[in-house]
Amino acid sequence: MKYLSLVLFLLTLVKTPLLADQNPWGIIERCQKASQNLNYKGIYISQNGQELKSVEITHALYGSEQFTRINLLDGNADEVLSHGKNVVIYHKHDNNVVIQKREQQHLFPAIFRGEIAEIKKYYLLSFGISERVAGRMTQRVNLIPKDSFRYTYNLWLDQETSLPLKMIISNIDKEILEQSAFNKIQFNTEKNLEWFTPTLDSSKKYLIDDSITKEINLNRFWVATNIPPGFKEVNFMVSKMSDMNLVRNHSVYSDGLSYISLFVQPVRKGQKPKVGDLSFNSTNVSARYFKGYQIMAVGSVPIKAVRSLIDSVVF
Amino acid sequence: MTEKNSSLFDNEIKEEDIKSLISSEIKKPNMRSQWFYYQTIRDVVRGEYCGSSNLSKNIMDAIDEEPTQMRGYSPAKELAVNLNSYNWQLILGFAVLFAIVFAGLNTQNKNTVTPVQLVYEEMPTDIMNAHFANTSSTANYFVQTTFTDN
Repeated sequence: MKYLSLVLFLLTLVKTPLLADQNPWGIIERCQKASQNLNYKGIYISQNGQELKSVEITHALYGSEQFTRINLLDGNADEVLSHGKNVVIYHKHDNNVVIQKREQQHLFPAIFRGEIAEIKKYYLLSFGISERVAGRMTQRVNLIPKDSFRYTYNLWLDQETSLPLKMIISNIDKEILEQSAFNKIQFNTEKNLEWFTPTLDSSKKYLIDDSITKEINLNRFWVATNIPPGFKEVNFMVSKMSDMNLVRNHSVYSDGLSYISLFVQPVRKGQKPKVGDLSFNSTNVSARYFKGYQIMAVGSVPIKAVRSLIDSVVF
Repeated sequence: MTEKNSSLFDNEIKEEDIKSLISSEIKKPNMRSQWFYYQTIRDVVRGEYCGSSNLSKNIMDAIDEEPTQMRGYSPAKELAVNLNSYNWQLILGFAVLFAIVFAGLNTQNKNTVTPVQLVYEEMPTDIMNAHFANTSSTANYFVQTTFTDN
């Protein structure tokens, strides 16, 4: 009987190779590497609140460089071309295409941006059952926050490759806030980089939007004294406010999975500054008025996180 | 004759020489630029120099291209005018004055402002779009940010 139990246990490990690891966090490290190193092409559905969109993604690693093309299949035929840290988005309209450079993209399935060790400090890892997603067997893993400054991330990882095939972000009441899931995925289909090019339309005018710039030589005059635990500033931008010649400070904080934007900008003449909190879908907003400035934090995090951040801004 | 010119601007010329000097100098083709040169030197020496109209216009044009931040301002590394080091104090003065006046004209007087409750209908879309464009892991990333096609 003892031997039978042992054999059954070993068989379980063979059936679920993702679990055959002494280090349970190894599964998350493999998941991060899979989204960077694998060559894959697929279509996934992304839902945020009432919004549902289909997205086609092609990703490849050539040498040590990552190439990604992401096409929006619903609504405007927008597309993103990403080569390493260079990200360009093509917004396609009836008469023109607006080209914007972006700082970075963390789109599903490449949701892990930094060191897994940092995530480990603020999330607990638990394992769920094996399920089929997009015709492939997956292992469910859950990243449950240790505090109330972030949401739970539920991931369905491909048993063969460790790539996330499904993700659900849920709150403490287990309500679904955001989700993305492949319904079709193939590996190693593209043998070269011929696909890595924007879909050009000669009948349209191409316009470059360079409104966001880091070159504006301004000192940061404010400081956030109480950033939620685990969050670090990952980006800081200074941009012109639309239709006027004043600037907005935009700082982005992340714990490796969740993000908070902090905006500090002067209040326009004739407009009333906003105060208080607002929630819609997974996004929470908190606003404060301080010394002529609108301070606002936006994030896919609980309201406590955005509120504590804006309350700590001083200058 | 240039020595007399200089004396004229320094109020050191004899009264009887003024008329002959002006009538002879006014016929010379370089007269205007030379007189302007002496006036400038005199104003600088007396600490009364406030710049030429062209200089002001060039500075204002360059500043006009620079976005304004009401706090934490430091001058841009380069302006689109060719200026020597002497004029930098003047530029800084203009820049700070312009920034204060412009910001004052375009922003609220904080003493008279009454904040209102944040509601969904009045949530600034440019802020939401800037957030999604830089942080989203879902299709919200595709949102278009501040650009308008003029």
